[in-house]
Amino acid sequence: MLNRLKSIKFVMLVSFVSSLLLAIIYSSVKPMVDTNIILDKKQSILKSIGVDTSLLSNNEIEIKYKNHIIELVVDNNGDIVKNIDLSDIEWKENKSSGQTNYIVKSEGELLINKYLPIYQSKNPNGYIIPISGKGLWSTLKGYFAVSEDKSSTLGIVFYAHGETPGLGAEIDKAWFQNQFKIDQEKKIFDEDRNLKSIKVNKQKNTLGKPYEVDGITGATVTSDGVTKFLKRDLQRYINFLRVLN
Amino acid sequence: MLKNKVFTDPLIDNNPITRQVLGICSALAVTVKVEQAIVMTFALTFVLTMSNVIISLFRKYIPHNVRIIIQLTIIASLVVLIDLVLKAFLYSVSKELSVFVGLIITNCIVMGRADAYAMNNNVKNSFIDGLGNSFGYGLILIIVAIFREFFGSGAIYGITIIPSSLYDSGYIDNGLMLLAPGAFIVLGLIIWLQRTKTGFIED
Repeated sequence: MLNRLKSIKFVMLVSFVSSLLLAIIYSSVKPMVDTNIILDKKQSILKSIGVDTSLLSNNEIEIKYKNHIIELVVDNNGDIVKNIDLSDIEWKENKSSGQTNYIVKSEGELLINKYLPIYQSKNPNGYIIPISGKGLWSTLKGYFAVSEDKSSTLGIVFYAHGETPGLGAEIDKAWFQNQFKIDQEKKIFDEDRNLKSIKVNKQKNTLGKPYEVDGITGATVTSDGVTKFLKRDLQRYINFLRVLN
Repeated sequence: MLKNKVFTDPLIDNNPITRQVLGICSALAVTVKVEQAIVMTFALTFVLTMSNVIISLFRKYIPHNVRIIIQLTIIASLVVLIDLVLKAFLYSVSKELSVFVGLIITNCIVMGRADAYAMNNNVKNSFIDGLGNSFGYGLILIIVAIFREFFGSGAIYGITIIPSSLYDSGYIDNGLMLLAPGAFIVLGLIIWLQRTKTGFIED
């Protein structure tokens, strides 16, 4: 009995000391981690329009971001909303579909997906839309950029995923993402402004096909996932994207 | 130190992966690229030597019936610690490795050394034992990663080795090497080679 009591005491002491230590360390590095996450998102946004940030310091990234990007909020009708700030929107992932729900609290009411975040870019001019959805193992999160004609693709970037290295994780590689650059002449709308989106085609051989890019060998589920959620997420912005201003 | 048996034994003769067949899970997971294997080796070296030292320091006070819980708490704390440090100071590396760093907790080598060695030996030897086992683990990890990256992606440490002219003439990377079975095959060959040489047979 005495032994058991001693053991319990010892376990409690060790647990207490280690959790205390971790709590102290966690709260002291938390601000740095948060800055890193925000900075990483900004880097991804810049990368989606083709601005290379890999050699820049944190401050330079902030400056570039300010120069290139305007944060906007649009509503379901496709109008730009002035009285809501992008930072008022809470991003919440739907765990089963991987889609991000955008929640705005207004007068005690929760408005879900009524207001959507979008980023306007200058030089190159265009719009950047956050995208997310399921691949094979994980939720892929990224940004998709279209040019100012709201149809030609400018780029795609993924900042979070847990796909198989060498297979699904190839979505992170330059060869895959370069297919969405402006010189590849890929488009998300046809002439009548119907949303075609971009299909990730496993058959490959998509050169000259405006609504398709080459898929990844051995990663059918990831490729199909990108096709599916890209269209789904673009659909939410349809009223904004369809109209040319 | 190079003559110290505590250090040299786990490098080859008593290697944790090829001889004791521990830590196989991460040997499969992080050996697709050499770079990942190296970072993983550093992370494991930190956790294993630190946990060995701490556990050896308290070995006389840890009650025998709850020792596994205590060891696990110490190891888990160290893993969370290194995960946080990576997130704060090396964010891009941590993004690539985050899941794998967390999985160090389940690496059998860490628990194995804590219970089998650090609980019964002094701090200095436990420290050396930690280093030796980490390097033994890292050695195998890097060898496997070199094979897998070379045959799977035609590169080593991210630098393309196989010339594009070979690809043009019809050479294709072996996709199997990028999947877990590829690691099994390479690892199996290494174990076979070693046991043929040493003549070691499992009872």
